[in-house]
Formats: sequence, structure tokens, C-alpha cells
Amino acid sequence: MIEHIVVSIIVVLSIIFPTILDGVERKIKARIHSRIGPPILQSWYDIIKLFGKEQVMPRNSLHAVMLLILLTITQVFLIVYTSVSIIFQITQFDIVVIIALFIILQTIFISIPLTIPNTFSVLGGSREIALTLVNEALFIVIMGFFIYYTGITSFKQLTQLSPTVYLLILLLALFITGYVSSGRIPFDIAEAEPELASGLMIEFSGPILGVFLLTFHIRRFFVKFFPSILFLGLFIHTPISLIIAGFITTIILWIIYAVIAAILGRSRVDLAPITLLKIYLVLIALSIIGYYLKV
Amino acid sequence: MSKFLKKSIWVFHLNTGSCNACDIEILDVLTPYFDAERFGVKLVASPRHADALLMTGPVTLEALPKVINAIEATPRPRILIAMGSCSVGGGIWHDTYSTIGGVRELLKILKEREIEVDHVYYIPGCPIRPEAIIYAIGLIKGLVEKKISSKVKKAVRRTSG
Repeated sequence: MIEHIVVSIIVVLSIIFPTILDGVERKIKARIHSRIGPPILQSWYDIIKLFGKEQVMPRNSLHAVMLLILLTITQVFLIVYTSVSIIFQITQFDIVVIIALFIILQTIFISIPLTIPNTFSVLGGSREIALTLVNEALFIVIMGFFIYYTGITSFKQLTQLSPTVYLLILLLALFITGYVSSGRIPFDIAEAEPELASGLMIEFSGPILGVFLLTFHIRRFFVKFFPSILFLGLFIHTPISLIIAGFITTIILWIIYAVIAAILGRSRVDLAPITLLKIYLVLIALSIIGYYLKV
Repeated sequence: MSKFLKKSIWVFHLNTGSCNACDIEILDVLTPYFDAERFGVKLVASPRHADALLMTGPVTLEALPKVINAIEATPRPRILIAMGSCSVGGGIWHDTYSTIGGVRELLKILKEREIEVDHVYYIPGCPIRPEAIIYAIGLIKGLVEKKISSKVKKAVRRTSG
């Protein structure tokens, strides 16, 4: 019974809380800039306001709206599936299902701007593809190594794990993929320059833009929540404690990422994916060495 | 104006041929010193996302079609904020051949084309002071009362009968 209540609360919070956390991030950035900054609920005010605005449909972009609705539904399903599968094992391959769903989501995400007949949108989408080819592709590789090293394909099996150096290195790489997937500086290259700002969503307005922002916040939450659960699974072996600790760690991680994003500068569009690739390759090489040395 | 629109005003900067003095003041308002974001104001890059259009300049004939396009692209309810002397009344360009002479003429053209503007605000000044922009934000949000002289009040009463 308690498990059901905890899962329900976590699911509801995972959908409502990311937008509040975005407001917290804006406040933290403002404090770092020595500003007062917007209220913590500002991101929710923005979204509620957008739902009350007129919907201006871009020409020939019905596909984009359909894909956006698909993206939102899949994103919510993914967060629900992840939360439920931590406590109740749904299949023996829950982690694999989550990886597959996440990759489908990413594919839909980069397809949306390409279906809109706007130069800035297409350019923003192309930049996102370049980044996805490094980040999400390496996410699959990292998760592949994780499954190969541990033989674990569901959260229930995490109890068998113990912390080792090569697993921690792999999880560090996974946390970096989470930072990049959340579109923070310097990996917001799809919208990095003023003329391309909001490149991906330049044609969206009103409720559709509100839905897009809401989905993006949930996505930002998920990319921190998933590595946090895998990391904490090395130390915590009861599912309820794991999911609660995972939720709290995600909030702490969000704040850390916000501070990092406020401190970091922008990078060149062509430089960011290559630098990222080098970092991933070094981390993966170190984890392979660690695995064969059994450290 | 809805409660949430007052709490979250996304602005799009629309330069219609200004000398850039007002544009620099707009950027000044967004710096940490004046921090317009504390009022929920956010500068956006697309008129599709905007609630308010910050219009600077006397609207040159060259810029006019683009200005109309940008206003049309903004979803309703849309707010037009005329910033600076040029935008409010044409300034020193009020009767030149290459401009239409400010927001009043623009509103007439918009009316002819059946493009609605829900609210219009005026910020006079050459260039506008950042404090004046913040005052306008206060007016939109309903934080401050509209200041009009007794002369204007009497004139308004007389015209309204």
C-alpha cells in the first residue's frame, strides 16, 4: 500500500516539480548575477499564461504539432514507467525499455524542428542532430557497457551491485550525458546565438509552446533522475528508499547543474560536440581499463 | 488583461528605424542593475512567443511591411509599447517623406487591415530612460496608477461629453 502511495506521489511530483525547479534555476542564476530575479513560480506563470494565449499555427506544420503531442505523451509515459518500474518490476528488461523509449523521444524531439518550414527552425534542428549523434549515441554505448559489466537489466537487480571504480567512471559519463541532454550552456547550441534563439520552437505559440516547455522541463528532470537512480542503486537496496533518495538527488543535481550553467561560457558550435566526444571516449577507455584490472 | 499575462510579459524588440539610442536603453533594463526579469519580463527572439512588442523608431516606409508582419505574427492578446519620441509621435521625423510618423499612423494602417492591437502603451523620451521603461512595466502590471495632468483630464472629460 505504502509503495503505491509513494509511486503515485513521485509520479505527480515528477510532472509538476520540474517546472518549479526551472524557476529555482532562474532564481539561482539571478543571484549569481547579483540580481533579484523572477519568483520561483515564474516558469509556471509563463506556461499558464501561454495556455490562455491565441494559437497561431505556422503554415504546413501539422506534422510538428502531431509529433509534439506524441513527444509529450511519450515523455510523461517514460517518467511514469521509470518511477513504477523502480518499485514494481514490470519486465525483466525495464532499463532496456527505458533506454529505447528515451532514444525514441530524442528522435521525435529532433524531428519536430525539421518539419517546420522555417530556416531558423531547420538550422536549430540540424545543430541538435549534430549534438544527438555524439551525446545520445554515446548514452547508448555507456548504458551498453553498464549492462555488459553488471548484467543488470532491471532496477530490482540493482541490489546485487556494489560500488567499483569502473562503474563510478561510467556513471560520471552518464551524468554528463544528462547535463548535455538538458540543453544547458554550452550545449544549447541549437539556440545559442541571438538570431537563432529559441531556434527549435521559433514557430510555436500559445498553448502549443506551453506544452513544449512543459515537456522540456519533464525531460530535463528525467535525464537527471535516471542516472541518479543507477548511482544510488549501488548504495541503497530498498526500492522505496531508492526512489525517494533518487528524487531528492535529482533536485540537488538540478541546482548543481544550474550553478555550472551560470558559470560556464558559450562554446563554438562545431567545438562543443567534438570536445564532448573526446571526454566520453576518455571516460569509457578508463572504465574499460578499470574493468579488466578489476578495480 | 489576464492575471497571468500581467505576471509574465514576454517582449519582442521591434526596431522600426530608430537611431539605436532607445534600443540600448532596452538592453540596459535587462542588465542586472535594473533587472526587468524580476517583474516576469523576458526578451524573446520570435514574435510568436511575444505578448508585448517594444517598438522603437518612427516606422520607416521600408520597415512598414515587416512591422505589420511582426505584429500579425504575435498571438493575441497583443500589447504594443511605443518607446521613445520617434515611436510615440514621429519625433523629428514626424513629417518626413520616408517615415509614417510614429505609432498613431501605424495604428490607422493596422485598423485598415483589420489587425487588432489589444493594448497600446506610450513611453516618451529621447532616448527613453530605463526608469521610464520600468514605470511602463509597472503600469501594465497595475502596480502604479496612470499619471495624467488635470489639463488632460479636463480635455478627456470634455471630449467624452
